[in-house]
Amino acid sequence: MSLDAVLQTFYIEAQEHLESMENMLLKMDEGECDDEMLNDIFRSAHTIKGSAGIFGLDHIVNFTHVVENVLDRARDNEIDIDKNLIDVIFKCRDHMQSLVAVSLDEYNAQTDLQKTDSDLLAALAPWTSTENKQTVAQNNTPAESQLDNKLTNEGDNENLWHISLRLSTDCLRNGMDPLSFIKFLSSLGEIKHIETIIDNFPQVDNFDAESLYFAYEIALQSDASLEEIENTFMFVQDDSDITILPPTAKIDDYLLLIDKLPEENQRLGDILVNCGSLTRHSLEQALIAQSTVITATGEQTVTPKLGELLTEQNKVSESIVSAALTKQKQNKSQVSEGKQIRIDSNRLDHLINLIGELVINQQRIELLSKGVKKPQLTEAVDDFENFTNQIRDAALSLRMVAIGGTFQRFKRLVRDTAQELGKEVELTIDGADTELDRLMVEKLGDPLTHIVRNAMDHGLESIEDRQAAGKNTKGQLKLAAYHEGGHIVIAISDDGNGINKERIREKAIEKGIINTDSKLSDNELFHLIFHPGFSTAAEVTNLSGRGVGMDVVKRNVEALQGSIDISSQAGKGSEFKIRLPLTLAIIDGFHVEAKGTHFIIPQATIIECINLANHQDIKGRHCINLRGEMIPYLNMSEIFKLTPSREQTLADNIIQHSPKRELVIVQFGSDVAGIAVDTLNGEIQTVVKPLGPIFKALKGIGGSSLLGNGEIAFILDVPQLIELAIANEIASKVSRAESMNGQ
Amino acid sequence: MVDKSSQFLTFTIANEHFGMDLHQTREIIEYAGITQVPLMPQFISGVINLRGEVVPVIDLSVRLGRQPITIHKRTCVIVIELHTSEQHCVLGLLADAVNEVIDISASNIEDAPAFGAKIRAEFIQGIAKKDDEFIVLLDAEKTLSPRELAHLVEAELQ
Amino acid sequence: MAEIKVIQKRDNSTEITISGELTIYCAMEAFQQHFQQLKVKEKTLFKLGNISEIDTAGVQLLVMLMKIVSEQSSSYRVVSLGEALTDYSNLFQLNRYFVDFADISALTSGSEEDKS
Repeated sequence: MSLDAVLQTFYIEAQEHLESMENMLLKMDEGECDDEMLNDIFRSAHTIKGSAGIFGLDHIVNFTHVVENVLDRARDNEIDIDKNLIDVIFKCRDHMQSLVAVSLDEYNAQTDLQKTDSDLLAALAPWTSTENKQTVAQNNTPAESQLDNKLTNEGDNENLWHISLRLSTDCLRNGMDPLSFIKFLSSLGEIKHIETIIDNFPQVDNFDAESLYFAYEIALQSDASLEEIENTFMFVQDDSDITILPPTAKIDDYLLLIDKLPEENQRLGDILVNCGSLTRHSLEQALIAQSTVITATGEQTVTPKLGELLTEQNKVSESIVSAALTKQKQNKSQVSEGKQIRIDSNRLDHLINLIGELVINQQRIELLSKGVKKPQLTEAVDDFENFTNQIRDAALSLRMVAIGGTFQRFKRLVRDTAQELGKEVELTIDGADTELDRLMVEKLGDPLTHIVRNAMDHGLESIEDRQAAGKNTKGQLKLAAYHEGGHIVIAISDDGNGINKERIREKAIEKGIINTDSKLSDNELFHLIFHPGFSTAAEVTNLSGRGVGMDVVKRNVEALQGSIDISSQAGKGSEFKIRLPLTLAIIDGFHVEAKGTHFIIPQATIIECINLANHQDIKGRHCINLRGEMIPYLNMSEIFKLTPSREQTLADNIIQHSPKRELVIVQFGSDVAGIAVDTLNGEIQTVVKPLGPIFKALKGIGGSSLLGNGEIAFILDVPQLIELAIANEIASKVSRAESMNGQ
Repeated sequence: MVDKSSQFLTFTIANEHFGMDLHQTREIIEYAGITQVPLMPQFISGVINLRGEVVPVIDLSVRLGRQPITIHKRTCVIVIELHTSEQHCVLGLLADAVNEVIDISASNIEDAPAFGAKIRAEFIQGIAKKDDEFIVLLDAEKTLSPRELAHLVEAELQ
Repeated sequence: MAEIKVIQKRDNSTEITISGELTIYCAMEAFQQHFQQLKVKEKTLFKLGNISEIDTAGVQLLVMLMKIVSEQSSSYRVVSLGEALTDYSNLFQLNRYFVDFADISALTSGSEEDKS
């Protein structure tokens, strides 16, 4: 349904404007405030209102109208912008967001929305001029067309504008005296003629001394632009019927101008307004009158209706309208904004899947071509690989999204939360440019929110406490993103009072999670936070939840095949580090084998590969000396308890004790370790095929991949593998100790 | 009232006859090797490459509390597709042999015995009789619930 | 606040003198107090020379006043205008109301008048 699609566009664009407004408000909140910002924020509101009007979304129009007025007054220095106003505008913006999401019918049925409406309008009262809350969709008195024509034809036609002023009767009451408009117009040029119309004067008995009855037709000779003239009436524009006709120009001139317009996505109105044939406002009214036809028939028949309406109101000639419409059709088929396009994410995923298959296919061809000794073929296959890589990278980059967007949203959260808590918090953002897979960014939202709220609630102290501790009253919260060892790291740090180890310990014992004599490292203690049902807050606050938060956070992060690390120092602060694999789709890896099982180690984690035969274990432990550095290693086959597969055993019995063993030295976090395997098979690019929910608990393996020959290889999750190895070692130490004690 | 009849795929595991709702079974393929997944409990035989999709294969025999299936020439994999509220899940089942698709009317399906059954009652959709043989109709969603399987895996790994 | 004096004279004329500020702030009061129930004689004289300040509401009031007067079939003359009113009148090209006092039909009929 075309109407739905157009509404969808409205919604998306309104969202963008709302986001822009929020960003402006945040800056204003931080003390930055200049005319440019006020203009921007006003324009955003104005645009939303205008577009909403076209769709007959009266509920949006009515509310936004008032907000827009206040913003208008603000940018005109009529009112002061203080914290209270900013707060109210924030709330108004949020409400606008709710309004934009519902249809007029839905709004009428939702009393809570209506209540918020009136509450906020009341809150705005101190700042509004008591203007008539008439909606834009009102029908206005018809223009005095005959008089218009006469005036524009007579006398000196050079730069002669015609302005028809039908102001609201409440004009005077609201503090707007036409006297000031006319004076201003005279400053723009020379008022050749002004006709004060007194038709509307009532009988004595009905005369209201504070109502405006005068109407005006003005011929203005001026070099001023349409916008300048229009701006004269900015404050009264919405409740009045004002028509400004430019000096008579030939139609051809208008057509030329339309063609010369720079390529942008413009609505018809913009085109005509830039032409100067029409004021934005009259056009909107015409469109609104027309839009009722659209909704009735469900079909959009722009061309005849609009043309009819406009020509009817005698505002513009037919040829101009059709020229403008042609232009509009051209523009609509173009990319919006010129720099970005919207694409269906399903299509993108499909494309990436296909490219993944292409990569697999390419590798098969490469394998096959190895057997054929034909240099031309080899060369062609190499080229093929090259192009495939480029396509792969380009497609993958489409999936990547800068995390800055997500981080930016936190500014609002931090602000609101700080207010709620009565704390002062400053949020710094680092590495906003860091890109990650789009899917990941979506799924990180919730975990990050929880950690941030937790840090603000429990980590950062109150203003008094901070002062007492000699800290700056403003708590520092930092969101950072960067690459490290084949992973993306997202770190949330605060300079609060750190995680209280004793309290965690107590709680854990209380909940029976650990024993009173359990000895745990700091790291292990911190990780108890992630245990389900755990909460160390003296009171569970509304914000960070009832202890169901942290374990869900951990699970969400792990679902993304990532991990969380916590570090903390009493009195100094804490840091949560989320590590995520670089991409979910295609991976650059190194193919290795251990006891016949195939593995792929992410290329980005690998520092180097060495042959174990050349190195001795130190002190009989799994540790080698590599150029002076002590590097511990683990045996893949031990950790994964690998046994040769049935096929492997049937086929080849030699695998059991391989004399030659390889060590892949990997980096994870800031540490280095080695992974001992049987064979190294070289670099490989593969599509990551997730193993599925059944294998979620499997540590050390982060997915699977298909090799060129169709076999399945497991993609190593290096940090998890190391964790597993450490856990195993602890477990074996414990059991050794126990067995010793037992004797 | 119309006696609804449904179609079931019947198969054999260790000489016992089982059946599963036909529209949950996607296809049947020959057993052509399997890749074991490290550290997994026994009921997970491993994973296979099904035209580019990595599909886990369950040893139903173990799942039902018996000895693991012995692989032989006729072993096959029944590919099941489950649509649960959370996700859509593809799994394979090892079977000794796949028999026919049969029509069983609702009236011919009896409830599973409350006790005494060798298989957990919730796995069983019902018991049907066909040609003097009893066929245990398995509830695919319960028997192969990814959630439950995931829990079992988790329990095993700890 | 404007000072409004209405004097009924023995020569069958009414003299209306307005001085001070005739603006929206007192327009309502002025109208209600003085003009709403106004009854004029055969001839009316407007002495507006001492109006120190006037705005659109004020001018509207004057126009209304003139309508009232016309409706009572009284002919009127504007004896003095004063600077404030002259300025306004010039700006809005309303001189015909205040200067060309002979033609009252334009006021009473309410029709579109061709510009002069």
